[in-house]
Amino acid sequence: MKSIKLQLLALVALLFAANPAFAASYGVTIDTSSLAGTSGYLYLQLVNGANIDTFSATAQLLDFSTDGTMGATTDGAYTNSNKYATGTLPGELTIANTNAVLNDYNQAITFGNSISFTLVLDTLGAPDPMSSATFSFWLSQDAAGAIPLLTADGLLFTVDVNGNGVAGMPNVLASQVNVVPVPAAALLFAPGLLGLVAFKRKLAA
Amino acid sequence: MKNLSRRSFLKFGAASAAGIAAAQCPVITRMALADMGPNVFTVAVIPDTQNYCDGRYQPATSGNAWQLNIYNLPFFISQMNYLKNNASAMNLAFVTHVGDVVQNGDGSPMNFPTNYGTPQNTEWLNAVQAIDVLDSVGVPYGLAPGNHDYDNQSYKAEATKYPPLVSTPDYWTKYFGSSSKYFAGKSWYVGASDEVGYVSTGVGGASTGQWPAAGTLCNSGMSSAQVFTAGGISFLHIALEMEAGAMAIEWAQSVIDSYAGYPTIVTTHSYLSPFAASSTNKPALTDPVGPGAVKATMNGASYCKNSPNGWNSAKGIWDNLIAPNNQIFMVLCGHSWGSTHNISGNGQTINGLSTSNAIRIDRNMSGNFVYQVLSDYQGNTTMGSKGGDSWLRFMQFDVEGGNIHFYTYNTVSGARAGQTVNSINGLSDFDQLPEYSDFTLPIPAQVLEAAAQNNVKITSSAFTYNRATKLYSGKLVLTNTGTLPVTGTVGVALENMPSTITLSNSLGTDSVGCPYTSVANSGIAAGASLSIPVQFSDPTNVGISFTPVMIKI
Repeated sequence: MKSIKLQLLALVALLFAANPAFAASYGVTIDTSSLAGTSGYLYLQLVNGANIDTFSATAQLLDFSTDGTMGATTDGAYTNSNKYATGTLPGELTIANTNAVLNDYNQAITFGNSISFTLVLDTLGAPDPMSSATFSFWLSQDAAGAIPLLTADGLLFTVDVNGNGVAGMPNVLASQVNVVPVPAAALLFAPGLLGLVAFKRKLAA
Repeated sequence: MKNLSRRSFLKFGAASAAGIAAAQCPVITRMALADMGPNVFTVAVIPDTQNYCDGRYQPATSGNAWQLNIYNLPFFISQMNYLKNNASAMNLAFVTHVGDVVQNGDGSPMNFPTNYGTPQNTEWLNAVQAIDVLDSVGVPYGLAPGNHDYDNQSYKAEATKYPPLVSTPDYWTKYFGSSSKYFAGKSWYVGASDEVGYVSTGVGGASTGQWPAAGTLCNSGMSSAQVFTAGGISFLHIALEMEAGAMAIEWAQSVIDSYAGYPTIVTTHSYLSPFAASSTNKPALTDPVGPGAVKATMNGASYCKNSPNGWNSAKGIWDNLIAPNNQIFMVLCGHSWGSTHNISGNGQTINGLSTSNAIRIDRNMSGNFVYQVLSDYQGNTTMGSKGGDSWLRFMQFDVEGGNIHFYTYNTVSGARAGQTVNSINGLSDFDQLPEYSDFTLPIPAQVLEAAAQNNVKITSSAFTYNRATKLYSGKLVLTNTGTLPVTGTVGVALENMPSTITLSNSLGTDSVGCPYTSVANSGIAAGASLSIPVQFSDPTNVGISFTPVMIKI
């Protein structure tokens, strides 16, 4: 019995240690009912912090869903500044922190009542505690962001992630937004394994 | 002067009125030396060595043949060997010489070639033998020139007899200047006052003929500066020339400005007078700032009067340099040793004692205390030297304990002054109370402040970009990871920022031209953090990079 426990604990440790990459997932829902039927833009950023070095990060939007209608993509803050984004909403979208500071994505939308998606923040490679990046989500009426929506500047929420694989708690700035951290699969699996140990111990007793 | 663009991580501001009121008077105590640790280090002070190097004291067997002084120089070399052999054990961080390295600057007053059969630079060659050993220790050091180190070793300042102290490139700067083998290329050597000087006209009034030939560059490079790091703190040391005039003070101020916030020690040769010996040889005690504290008097200016470079008394140096610069926490000096005297009693006699140690403690203009310490043992001859007997002054800094332990050590006998009292008059070495030679004072607030600020770590958040304002927004978090509070208003300056990047919420630029910003604050308590918002414009999207540096506002 003791041997089985040790093997299971080793397996749990392996699940956490095997992959140096880090991923944090968040379930995001945005109530756009006050904007329903109007046109606007979704503007997404992955912005590097100061002194970026070897840190690599991506932001993925998965399972994007809206009862509105997605329009065409357009330039972000700079011409072609969205070139490091791959995919188009409502399909899977990935933004990499390839540019020195700003990596963004801008897409037209005719709002429905809600938007929802899963946000996955990944850091890649060796831990780099000196570097960080921030994902942020904005809404505006115009492509240039001069007419913000829902908040004073159009910024709805941010999530920080540093190169050491530590993601901050979401900073939600609009009452219409809900951002919930999603436990990683490993985190779900570990309690299961521990439960299995307890169950076997109970059977043995 | 080397490039002084290197900036400090701190800039001290004046203490608040509340801070001044709250500052406690330091109390002299007697404590044991601290156990060595990572934040315990030692600064050594070499008192006047002119008697060791004096070219007149020739060995009896030398006749008129030139020979290095073997009678007294070994005391000097013994001191340097002690530093070399114990540097690691005492964590020796810096060594300063208070001046009067030699006795007869250019040898002319003693007419060496004729009267002693030695070359004019005999004494400098003696000094070089000792300083070679010091140089081999591998720790930063500085030497301040005393009156005897000027060419004319002017005992008389009156223009009718001798000109004011004059140094030509043949002596002090040749052996100990910025281009000398000791300092050229040393990373810790900040530079010398090479631009502070004058060109001799050859005319000195009634003393014409005593002046160097017309066109000779005089008194340049007599002051110098060094930096050293110990106990996690970066210190600045200024070796200030004798009775420094306005130009030398201005040079020293420029160094301090460039190293703003570095806790600073100033060594200048003539500054304090020793306590006068009473008829019973007991020094007069006063109590100006706290129980046990003593207060020596400041020297006037007499050697450099009439110098084209100007001059200052000790009070002038205090008023113009020490008091206004809060980062200066200590002044070290030599020059004055009282009188050599003998004491008798109980059928015994002790010869060759002097009142060689003194201290004065004053508040600077920011309300913090400055320790001014006299160490000059040239009047002590009980061990058979011509003066000095190989005594050294040490200062052991215990940053964690918050103390500086001053002690006085004889490198030939191994004695530590102030440990015993003699049976004749109940006093100790130097015929003074034991606490004059061996005592402990709290580390001044200026140094602790630097230690606290050294423990502040700065991290930067990532940024968001607002397309409407075209600004990146984030925050810098200053976390005090130490055990001491950082007091006063602090901010953060951004160094090494690309020219295309602008700190949009800048409040101005600091002393070296870097933009800084802040929020309302009163410092950072131990273990606490301060978050300072920052905003940047980066119109070309090159990336935001900088070196954040905490400053005092």
